[in-house]
Amino acid sequence: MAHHEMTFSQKYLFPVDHKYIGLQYMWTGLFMAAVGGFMAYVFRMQLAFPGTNVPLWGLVTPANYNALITNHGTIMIFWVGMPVLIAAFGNILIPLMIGCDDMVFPRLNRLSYQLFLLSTIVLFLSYIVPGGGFGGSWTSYPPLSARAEYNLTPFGSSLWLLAVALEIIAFLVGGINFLTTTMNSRAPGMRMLDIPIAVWMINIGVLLFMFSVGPLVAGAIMLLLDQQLGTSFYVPSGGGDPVLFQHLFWFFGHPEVYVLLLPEMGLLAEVLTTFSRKKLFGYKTIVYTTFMTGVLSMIVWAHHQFIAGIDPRMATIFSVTTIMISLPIAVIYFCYCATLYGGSIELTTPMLWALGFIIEFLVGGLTGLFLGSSGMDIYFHDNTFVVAHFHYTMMPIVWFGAMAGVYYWYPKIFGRMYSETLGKIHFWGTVIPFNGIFIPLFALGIGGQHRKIYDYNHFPELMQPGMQDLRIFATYSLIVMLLFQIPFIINFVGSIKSGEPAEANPWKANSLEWVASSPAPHGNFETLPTVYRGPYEYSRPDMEEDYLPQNVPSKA
Amino acid sequence: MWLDALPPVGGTFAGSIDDLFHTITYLMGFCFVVSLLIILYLIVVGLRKPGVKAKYVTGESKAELGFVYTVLGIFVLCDLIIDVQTHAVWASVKETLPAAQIKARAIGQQWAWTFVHPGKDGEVGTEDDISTVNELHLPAGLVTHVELESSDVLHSFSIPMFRLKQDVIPGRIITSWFKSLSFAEMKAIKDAMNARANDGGALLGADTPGTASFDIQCTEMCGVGHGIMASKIILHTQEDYDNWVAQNSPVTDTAAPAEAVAADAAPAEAGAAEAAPAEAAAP
Repeated sequence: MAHHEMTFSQKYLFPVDHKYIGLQYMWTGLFMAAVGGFMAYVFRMQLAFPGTNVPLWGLVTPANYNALITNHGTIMIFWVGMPVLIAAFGNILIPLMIGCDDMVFPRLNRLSYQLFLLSTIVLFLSYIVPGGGFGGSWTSYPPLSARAEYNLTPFGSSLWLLAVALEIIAFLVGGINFLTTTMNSRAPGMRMLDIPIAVWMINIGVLLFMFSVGPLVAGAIMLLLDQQLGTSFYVPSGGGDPVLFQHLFWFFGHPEVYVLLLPEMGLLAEVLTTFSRKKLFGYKTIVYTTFMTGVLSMIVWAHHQFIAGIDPRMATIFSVTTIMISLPIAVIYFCYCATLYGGSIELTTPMLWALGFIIEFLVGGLTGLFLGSSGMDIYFHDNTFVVAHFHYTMMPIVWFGAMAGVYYWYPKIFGRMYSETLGKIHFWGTVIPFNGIFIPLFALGIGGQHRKIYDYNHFPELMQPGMQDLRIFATYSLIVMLLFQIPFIINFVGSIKSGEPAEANPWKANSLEWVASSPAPHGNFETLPTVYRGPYEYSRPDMEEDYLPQNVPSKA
Repeated sequence: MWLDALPPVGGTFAGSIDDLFHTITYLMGFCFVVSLLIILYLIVVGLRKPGVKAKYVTGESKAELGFVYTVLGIFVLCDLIIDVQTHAVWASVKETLPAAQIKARAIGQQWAWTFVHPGKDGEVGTEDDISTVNELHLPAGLVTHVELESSDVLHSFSIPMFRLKQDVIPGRIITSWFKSLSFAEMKAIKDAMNARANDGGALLGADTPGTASFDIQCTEMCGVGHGIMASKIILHTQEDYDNWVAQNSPVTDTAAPAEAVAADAAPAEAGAAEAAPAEAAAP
């Protein structure tokens, strides 16, 4: 296949090449991760040392605090998790892994990123308008979010909502592209069950996103009308119902967790099999169970609303479905664990992140059982136990998962090797303080500490001996964790220029992206590959070599 | 450490929620430890040794998937146990309300609670109601129904000591209930907390001899002042409560001049109590 050199503008400003669009998403996502991390630093400083000047910020007012926690949540989900895990890896990996030259709709792909960039700009605008940024929490429950007289951010709340809506449109546009490309552009010979799990998972995640996002968009438009035109879809004084929004929001909001989890599990499958030289355990079981998880994830949403005024009899049904979803997740999870069995495991940086995910996510998954139980949720609802639980899921998913992927595909993306030493410092410097942040939050939550409070001094029962020490410990842990991201930045940026040049297949992996040279040129492959088998044929007993790429014809 | 971290049990259903917590903690703790050991074992045993090739296991055969189904079976069992106990707790707390021995009303507004007490006639919504801001006065040991209302946004009425939590929704009246332990027991809990606090940290507030007070939280984001929306439930001995009612009842007989009512800030007539939150909500 002929490829030509692209101009600067074709590469970086208005690319249609899937790899450069993926990189745009990745750079933006990582930048937003830094913004979200800084916000966490500011509000955790306020919690540890209420009312003091926070270095690099100043005094944290209650309005500041609320806007910071709101936007920290929004950014980490919508502007870090979605762009890095789905958009960046989806864009970079799907065409490479299914062996085609680009997405089927390259210009639509470009539009997707441009909308995403616009949404980012709108989000930043929402802080600097009069009244400041929206502080009604990322769930934006009305009537608080619906009326400026309640939230005191007449412009911030609408711009925030607009930014989220734009971001969703960007991912819808991108998602159409992912599905169409996967269905139509696979290399000759690649049957449905030869598709790498990473591509499967990203596509199932996108499907789930598309099925669930409609009600949220409708809900967001009604909320925008409530804010700007004074309608009363959610305002009781005008005949509306605030709980309606909660249903629309969580009908999307819960599947959204799986929209992020599934792509992460996909990246994980590639990393785990490559560095343990093992065939993936139960490929078919994983694919089918993932579909089941997706379906089940759409009928659990009201577990966010057990005590929100829904009919109490309904809670039992949703409690049972919620607890039931532990079953398919357990199947997938233990298939991954079983993949390690009898492996030849090499603890490279991406493998460390993958194993880190497996262990930390275990905590997140198992603590979910407390919250899925409606009876227990009476106590834990809006408690920092919830905060600790979902950070034990989202942090491994979004950050550990993204890092496993970033390090693993770094040679393919940039054509250079990263520094293993810095990578390992980054891993251990993240995983240890991460536990230092959130284990205290479990303890404080069990002790009755509720969420979204900017100063616990107003609650004497939450200022009992030792409790403030736990908050300070969590804050210091966070600062340490943030500082240990510096080696990552040095590694990530520095290795682009000064890393060792990477060969086409440095990990001796099987899937098609390693057939292309590193970095993959415009058009990806010299000749489009043909596929003869699934992507996980490692350590076959009938071969000397311990890997057999998908595109190599069988000798027999 | 984890099991001790729960606050003391202050109400009747708090114990059943704590039992549920213990059940889930033991089950999930077991799953956690076993899973962690399996994973660590697989990693350590599987570390790369020169010249040793990895096993070729597809995980497609029934025998191989047996491992996964075993794990699934354990989880089904855990889930069922949790489901059954969850339903029992949930039904007893949220689905069936025992008959009220005393009623009160709590009205959430940005950013305070107005509490309406029944007064001498024992009924809320009559002329002798006593309204207070951020202080809920009740005799200890009675089944109490609290009618929850909001005059603006969502709030949530939470008393950690009772493990009670219920969101408050404008436009609806949701009845929540609790029954505290006896006054002597509640007083002992408060004294123990204060004694611990004396060793370091702030006192939890001194109570008058006939009272014991505990935190009420607003646990739903309700705007800028969400973090300061703190109130107290003040539990009295029956005798002390009767005194409190007598002292704070609004003067309603015809002889009393109108100024006397206006001068006393806390008590208000029933009608005024309805209107008060709306006024307080105005910035």
